[in-house]
Amino acid sequence: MMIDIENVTDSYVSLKSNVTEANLNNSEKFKAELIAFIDEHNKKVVLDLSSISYMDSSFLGALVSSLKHAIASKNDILLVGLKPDIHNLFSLIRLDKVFKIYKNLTEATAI
Amino acid sequence: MRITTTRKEFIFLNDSLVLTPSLKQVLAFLEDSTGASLVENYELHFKVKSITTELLTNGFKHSHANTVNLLVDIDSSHIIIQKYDSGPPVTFGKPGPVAGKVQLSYDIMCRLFANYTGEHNVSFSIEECTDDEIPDIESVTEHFGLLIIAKCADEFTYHYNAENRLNLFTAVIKLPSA
Repeated sequence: MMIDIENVTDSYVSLKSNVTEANLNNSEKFKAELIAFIDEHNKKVVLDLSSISYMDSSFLGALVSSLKHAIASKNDILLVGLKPDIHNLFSLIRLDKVFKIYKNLTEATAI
Repeated sequence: MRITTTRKEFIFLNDSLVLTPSLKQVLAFLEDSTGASLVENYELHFKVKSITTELLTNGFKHSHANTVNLLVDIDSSHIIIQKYDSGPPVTFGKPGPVAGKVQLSYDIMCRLFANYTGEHNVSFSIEECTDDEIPDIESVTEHFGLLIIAKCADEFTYHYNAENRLNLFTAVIKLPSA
């Protein structure tokens, strides 16, 4: 498993990636795991990506595809713990306008 | 920026498991060749890392050869990273354009274009959309590789050499003047 479950509340499920290198090699498997969590819990997902130091476009595409799935089922994916390079990658292609990105779980669930 | 003019060819096994080690190898070479300059310039380092990552990903994803090949050139004013492989030419957008501008992707955030300057010569360009609204998620593309390179490079081109059946992607990064 590339995603660990941290906590489940009435309003959200918090998940944590244990992947360091997020790329072509594991993007489809990660997406399948994430979608399985969304379908199983049917609530907002807070996804901690602090483990990731390297990310490529394949993985970004998998995250966008997962978000489409979440929104289609009236849920959402909130991202937390992005390292500076990863956050800048999201900003570069303006995916920071697509995903709700927060520093940590506390900030993400405060609203 | 104090740079030693140099060139190095990298030939990696075409196996996506070695993607990150390959990236680290190229970055280590660039860091060595540019002294501390690259490491200390966050923006430049980010661009080089992103371009190299995406050229390698493109290679591992699309190359039908046994290897993924990068050629890196550094001089006092540029870093040039080229990815090449043998095989049939790549077509961007509608098949068979001889000249003109083809839109490769579009969403509310930006448009990516392939500008054909010949049958097998393309330069990539971006047009940012100024709308700050949150885009409709269904309209957002899931393919970001060319977009990332086009955004990070000062020039990003594709050329197919029909004589030796070679596909060549070239990303040029201008270095800040000393």
